[in-house]
Amino acid sequence: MSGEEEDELDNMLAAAAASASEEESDTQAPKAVRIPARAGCDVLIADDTGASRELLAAILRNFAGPLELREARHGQEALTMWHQLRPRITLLDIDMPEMDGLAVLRQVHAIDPKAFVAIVSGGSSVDNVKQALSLGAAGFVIKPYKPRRILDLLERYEAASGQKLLKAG
Amino acid sequence: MLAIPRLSGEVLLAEDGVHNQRLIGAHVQSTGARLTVVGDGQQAVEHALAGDYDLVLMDIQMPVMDGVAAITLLRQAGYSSPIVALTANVMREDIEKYRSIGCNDVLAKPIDRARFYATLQRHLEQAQAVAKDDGRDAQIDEVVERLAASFRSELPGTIEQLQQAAAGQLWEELRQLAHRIKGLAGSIGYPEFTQLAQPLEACLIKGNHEAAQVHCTRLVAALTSTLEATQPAPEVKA
Repeated sequence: MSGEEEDELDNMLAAAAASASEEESDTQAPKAVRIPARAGCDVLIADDTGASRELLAAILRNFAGPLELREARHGQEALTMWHQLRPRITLLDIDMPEMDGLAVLRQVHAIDPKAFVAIVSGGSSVDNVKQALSLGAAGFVIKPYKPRRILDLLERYEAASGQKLLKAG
Repeated sequence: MLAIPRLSGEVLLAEDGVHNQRLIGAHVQSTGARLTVVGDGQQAVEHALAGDYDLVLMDIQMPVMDGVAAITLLRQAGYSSPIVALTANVMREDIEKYRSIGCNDVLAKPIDRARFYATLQRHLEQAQAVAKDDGRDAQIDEVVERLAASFRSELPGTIEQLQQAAAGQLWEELRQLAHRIKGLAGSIGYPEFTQLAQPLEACLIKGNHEAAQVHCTRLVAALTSTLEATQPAPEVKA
């Protein structure tokens, strides 16, 4: 069994434990947690503003080339899609309907503490930043942002995962 | 006489002492670099993350949040610009500690001007080189321009929606409009709309509707003047 498979097994066990406890406390959590063997997409973007998603997607494609990108329009959708897709990178707005980005981050990390989840939000208060980081956010980008900040995130992902995502050059 | 380097770029200075703010600020500005001054670590984090600075000069002893906490938070958040610590504690273990939390350099206080200018020059010239190198930013301009064009073409509708929501006291609708403008406008070349939408959204979240009306009027006025500037006046038929 390779290290990666062991990690995957750990994740599945953690997910099973988390979903068992969640079914009692949180009826909104999806009941079945299916974990694909590989990431079902590269990046999941969650933002309630269509143009914000479009801009982020364009910047990501620009730096990383062809990417499997998926978009969620609110927090609950983001959480459901995360369960289904297990994206390599998840980018969450904070202020979204249904469920805010920090709640999504909390639930994702309860299942997979290693998941690379970063916040891309207009909420720039230090309290937001502190809370997100204490919940395990891999980064915090404040809107409006320079594209360079998104490149920083991708470089951070590469450093953390050892996987290549960026275009050469 | 000490030669002052000619530099450009954006510098954020976080320093609580008024005297040092003026003195260090004057050193920065004498090089030609642009300067923003904040008085504590918390403001430093908020400004650094929200702004576009080429270099952060961070005092270590500050109220509210000290420099060590601020630098730690910034690096955890993925902040990549260089940070230079300004401190009277320059024992070797202090310097090692500051470097270990993500400082690129440590400058002793009181400031030695020659070292200060050399440090500023090194980091700002490096930032310029990176910016030039990064042709990828230019490719994004096309997408930004397309989104900006679509934002401009939607301006008449946006203005009408804002006015109707304010007149009809549809606060949640107004908040959503403000939220959308706040998050997008600044990224597509209209930071002034983000700045105006921010207090509007904040007032609506607090339920302060009177103030919201005032902010809404300001935002509508700014949007309207942009609309008038971008759309040529209709031709008058003879």
